[in-house]
Amino acid sequence: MSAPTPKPTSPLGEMTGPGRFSLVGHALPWLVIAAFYFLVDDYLGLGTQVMIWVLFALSLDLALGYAGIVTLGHAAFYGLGAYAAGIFSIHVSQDPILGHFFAIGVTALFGLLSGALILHTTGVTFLMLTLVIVSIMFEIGNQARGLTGGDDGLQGIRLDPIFGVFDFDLWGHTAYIYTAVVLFIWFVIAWRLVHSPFGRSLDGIRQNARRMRAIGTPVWWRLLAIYTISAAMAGSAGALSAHATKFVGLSVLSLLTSGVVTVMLILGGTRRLYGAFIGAAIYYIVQEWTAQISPYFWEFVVGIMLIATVLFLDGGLMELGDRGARLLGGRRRAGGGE
Amino acid sequence: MKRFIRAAGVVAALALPMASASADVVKVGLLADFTGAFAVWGSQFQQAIKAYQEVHGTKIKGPDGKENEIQFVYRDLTSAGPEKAKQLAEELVLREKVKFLAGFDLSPQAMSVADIATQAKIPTIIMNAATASITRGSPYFVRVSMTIPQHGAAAGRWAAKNGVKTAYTIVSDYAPGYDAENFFTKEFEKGGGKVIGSERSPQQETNYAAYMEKVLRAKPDALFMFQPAGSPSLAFVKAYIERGLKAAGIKLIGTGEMQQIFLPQFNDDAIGVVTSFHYTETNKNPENIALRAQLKKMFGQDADADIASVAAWDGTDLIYQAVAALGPSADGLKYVDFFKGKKLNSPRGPIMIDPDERDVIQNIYIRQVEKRDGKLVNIDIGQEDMVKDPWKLENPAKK
Repeated sequence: MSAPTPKPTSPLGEMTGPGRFSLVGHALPWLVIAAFYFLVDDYLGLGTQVMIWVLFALSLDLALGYAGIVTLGHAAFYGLGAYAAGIFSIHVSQDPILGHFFAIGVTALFGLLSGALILHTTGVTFLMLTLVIVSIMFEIGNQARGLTGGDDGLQGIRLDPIFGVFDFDLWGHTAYIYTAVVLFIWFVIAWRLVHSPFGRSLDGIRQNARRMRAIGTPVWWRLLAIYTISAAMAGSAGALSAHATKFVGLSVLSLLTSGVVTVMLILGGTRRLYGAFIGAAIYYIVQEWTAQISPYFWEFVVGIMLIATVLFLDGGLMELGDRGARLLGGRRRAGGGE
Repeated sequence: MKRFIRAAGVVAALALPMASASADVVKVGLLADFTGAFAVWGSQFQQAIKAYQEVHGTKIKGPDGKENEIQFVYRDLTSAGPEKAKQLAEELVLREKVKFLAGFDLSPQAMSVADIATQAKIPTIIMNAATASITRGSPYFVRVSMTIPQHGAAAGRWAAKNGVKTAYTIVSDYAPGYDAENFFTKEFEKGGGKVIGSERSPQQETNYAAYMEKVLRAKPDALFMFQPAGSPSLAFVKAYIERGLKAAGIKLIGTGEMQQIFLPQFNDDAIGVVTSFHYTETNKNPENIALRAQLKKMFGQDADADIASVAAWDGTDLIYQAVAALGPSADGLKYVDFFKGKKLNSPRGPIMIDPDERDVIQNIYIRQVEKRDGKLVNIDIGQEDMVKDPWKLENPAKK
């Protein structure tokens, strides 16, 4: 008991990390996003889609990566967000910001309710229940043809300019910046969350829920909270997709969508937030390029990449950055994990 | 160093086709699924287009006598959502500067590019997507494939005229299924028949025993089905035989389930099934014979034509004719105006582009599965001339 109390580390300490190197690391993705806008003007549609997937993968990272909630049901939130935003614009108001908040509200509520129903289970049971929820949502989307357009998709989304000024143009300038801003806001929220005492407790719950309960952590409430936040974030990604595409297809609610986002996250690396950036970008861009060379080939390339990552890079592609940094500076970064 | 040179060579090789593109190249962006669950569409489109270009060449003289090269740029929609279609269409228009868009196997994919087609004034040839309302999405949409109501309505009319008094319907539980059910029922009852029961089965259903028992108890003269190709329609026909519906004299009527390319999967159970469709693969049109021979010559004996092939063939034909008549750089609406009312000798038979709705008007053939020379084939037993999309007749465009 005589051991000196460790120096309290501020959450900001993590953020600035060990010096200049990580500061550059933090600026990098945002610089890339900004540079992309000015340099690769013709590919803004691609950039927008990548950022939407990044946000979606980020939401999954909170639940799956940090809190250890093993779910395959995140498409339910993504799809619900997309339909909520789309239906809102058709039947209520064409204001995109209002519609976006509506979608976030609806998905947060749905995350809260469905989480309350199923979060008392763990492991395979929980996984099955998330599959059930996403399947039910898909079938509702298919059946409620009057509201969702069913298999034909939701048509007729029209949007007012953002703040009455920035019109959604064919060249996708507005959609790109809008998506980038939303992504940034969510990223800051996520960063603060996972480095707060709340985020630390999630770390503990993932590693040993029983012990956390023993020391008095309200495990169920914590999980419910992060599940709800994650749902809202996924819903926000769905709303962005509906706004950027001005169309919602039933595929947003499909199991495949859940699968793809999981692959992206694992590819990039879980529990490091930036893993979502790397994973979604690499997946999408590799798919795009290989599919242009040969439309039949991309699944093979992405598959090999995923296998190689899982086999050789424990922490996903982000691990490559760590190893590079170690080689360069000889300094070991405190990785996520262990 | 060697590796660097090799890499530079690869980069140069990739860049070369772009550098050689000059003003007289007319690019056509083809969007379809080449991977994933719907991959067969993309490859069927591509084979038919390549066959067409092999027969007719890639160069076509414009009205000024100058040669224009028609170049297809293929993009994979990866069987993913419509947002992918929209993004790729944007890139094709903004970056590749395509003059035409084409392809689209699924309806949501076509609908998601309506805004782009309209804003960028790009004539868009829809080569499959069969939801009736699609062509209303943009004044630049032109469809060469079919609509679901065309098939369903013709099946209903044929049944009413050919001694079927009562019918039962079982359709797959999604939008195209509802459309088929709706138009079959309407036309059948208009002709004096009566639908005495209807069911909707889940999209991936493979156990139809309970449905068949219900039909058997209801004792209709005919059973109308709309089932996705593959395991659902195979299981459906199997259950229809096993549960004794065929033996009880209940006639099975469908639409796209008995296409020639699927028939080898069925056994003799399928004999006698009647379907209402816009393309009978064994027809003797010279265009059809040419298309099928060309496909086999270029892609082997296993290659064969289906509805994707004929639509891609006709769509390519439209583009060639338009460039020949108007040159490589006419206004988008000029091309569309050229397509309106255009008549083509399609491999499927005569077709026309509806001058008002830009949708396909075509013969619907009533075929019956029979066994000829040990092989199952569709034999035409009836035909309706130049059927307009019934949905559009029922829902006139708002002026």
